[in-house]
Amino acid sequence: MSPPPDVDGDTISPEIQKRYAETRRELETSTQSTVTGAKEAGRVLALAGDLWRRRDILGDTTRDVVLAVDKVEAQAAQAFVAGVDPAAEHKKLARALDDAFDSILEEGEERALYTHSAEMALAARDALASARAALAFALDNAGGGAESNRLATLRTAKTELDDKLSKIDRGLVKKARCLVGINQARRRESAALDASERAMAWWWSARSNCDFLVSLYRSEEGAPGAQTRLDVTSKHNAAHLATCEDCQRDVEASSLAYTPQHVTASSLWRRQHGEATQAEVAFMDTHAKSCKDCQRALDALAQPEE
Amino acid sequence: MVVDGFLRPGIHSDHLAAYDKLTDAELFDFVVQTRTKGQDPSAALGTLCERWRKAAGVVVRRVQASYRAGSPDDEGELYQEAVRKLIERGLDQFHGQSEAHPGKAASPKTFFLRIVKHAAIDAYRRQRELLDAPAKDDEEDNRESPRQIAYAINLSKRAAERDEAQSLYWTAYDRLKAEHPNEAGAWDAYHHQDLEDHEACAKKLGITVANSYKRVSRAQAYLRRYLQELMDEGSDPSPDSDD
Repeated sequence: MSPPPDVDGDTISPEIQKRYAETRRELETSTQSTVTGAKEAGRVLALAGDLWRRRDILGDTTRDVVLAVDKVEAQAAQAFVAGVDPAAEHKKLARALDDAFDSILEEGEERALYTHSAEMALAARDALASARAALAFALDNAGGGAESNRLATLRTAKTELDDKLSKIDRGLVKKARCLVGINQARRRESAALDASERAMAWWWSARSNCDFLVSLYRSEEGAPGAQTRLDVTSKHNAAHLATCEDCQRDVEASSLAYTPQHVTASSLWRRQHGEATQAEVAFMDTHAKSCKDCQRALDALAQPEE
Repeated sequence: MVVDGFLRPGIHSDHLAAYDKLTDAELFDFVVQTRTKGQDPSAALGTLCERWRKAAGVVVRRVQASYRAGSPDDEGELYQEAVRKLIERGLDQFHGQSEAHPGKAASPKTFFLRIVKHAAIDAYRRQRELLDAPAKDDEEDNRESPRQIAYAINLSKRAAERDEAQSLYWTAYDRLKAEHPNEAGAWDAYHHQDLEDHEACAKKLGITVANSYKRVSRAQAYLRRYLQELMDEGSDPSPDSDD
C-alpha cells in the first residue's frame, strides 16, 4: 500500500541526491575560468543557488557557492537578468499550470507528456529562484567597506530580477491547485529545499498536499449524480478535507449544482438587461421549446413594460 | 396618497408638495443621493412609486394574461413586492443606462416596471408549481412550523447568492466554449439539452460513445476549475495581484 500523499515527500529520493552531486560537478567544471557570457552566468548562478537553497540535505555548500559566484562577472550577471523576459516566462509558467491540469484528465502516454512538460517549466522557474538566491548570497557575503562597482552591479541585477520574478508569478500562485496532478514530484522537490525556502517556492509547495482535488476533477462518470460523488470516503481525503480550508473553499466554489435544468428567474432578469451570455440565451430558447412553463415565462418576459 | 409605511412622523407635507414638482428622473436622483448620504429616502421613494402604481397594474395584467391566471387582488401585492425588491436590490442595480439603446439614459420608471413584471412572472410560476405539485396533507400545508419558517428565511437570504452562482456558471461555460469548444459542445448536449445519455449525445455530435463520455468528463473538470478561478477573482478585487 502506498503511503498517504501528505508524508511521502518527506523522504529524499536517491535521484535527487544524485542530481545535486551532478550539480556540484557541473558547477566546478563551469567555473574553471571567469564566466563572462550572459547565458553561462545564468547557468552558474542557477547551479550555485540550487546548492545554496538545499543546504539542509546537501550539507554545508558555502565553499562551492563562494567559489562559483566569485567567478561570475557582474556585467555577465546583469546581462543574464536583462535577458529574462517576464512576459514570456509568465506565459510558460501559465502553460505549465494548464499542462499539469491536463495531466489529471489524461491517461498513459499523453499524461506522461503533459506531466513532463509541466515539470520542466516548473524546474525552469525554480532555476530563476536559484539564480536570485545566488545573487543574494553574493551581496550578503560581500563583507563591509565601500561598495565596489561589482557589488553595485550585482545589487542592481538582483533588484531587477526581483521585479521580474514578481511579474512572472503574478496571478498564478492562486492557481496552484492546477498542479495537484503532479503533487508527488512536487513534494519531493519541496522536501529537498531548505525549510526557509519552501513557502517562497510556491511552484513546488503550494497545494502540494491537496491530492484530494484530483478526485474532484477526475470524475468517473459524466452523469449529474456523479458530480458530487467525490472521493471523500478514503480515509486520507476525508482527513485532509476536514482540515484544509483551501480545499473546502474549492469544493464549495466548484459546485455544479447550478447547471441549469430550467430557465431561472435570474436568467430572465439577465436576459432582460442584456447581461445574459450568448450561450445562456441559446439555452433558454432551446430549452423552452420542450418546456411549457419556461416558454410561458419567456412569453411573459416579452410583454412590454410601457 | 402615499404608499403604506412610507410617510413617517417628521416628514412634512411640504416635502411631498416639493416632490410633486420634480420629474421622475429628478426624484429618483434625489432618492439615490439621499440614500448615499445615509439618510432615509422613504418619503421621496414612496411618492415616486405611487406615480407608477397604475402602470404597474397594467404590467401585472399583461403577465396575468400570459399565464391565464391571477386576480385583480394580486396587483396590490405584486406592487408591494416590487417596491420591496427595488429598495433591497434595485436601487443598487439601476445604472441609468439603457440596455436596448447604449449611450442613452434609461428611465427609472421602466426599470421599476421591469421589476414588477419579473415579480409577477415569479409569482405565477410559483403558483403553477404549487398547482402541479402532488397534493399534500392539508394540516401539513396550513401549518408554518418553525422549521418551514427558518427554511423560507434561509431561501430568501440565499437568493442573491443563487443569482450570483448562476451568473458565474454561465461565465465559466463561456470560457469553456472559448477554450475547449468540443468539450463545451458535449456538455451542452448532455446537460443543457437534457440528453443525459452518452449514446444520444454521441449520435447528436457524430462521435463515439467513449468520446462523448470523455468530453463531458473533461468539460466538468474545466468548469470546476473555472468556477474556482472566478471565485478567486471575486474574493480579490485586483485580479493582477501578486497573490
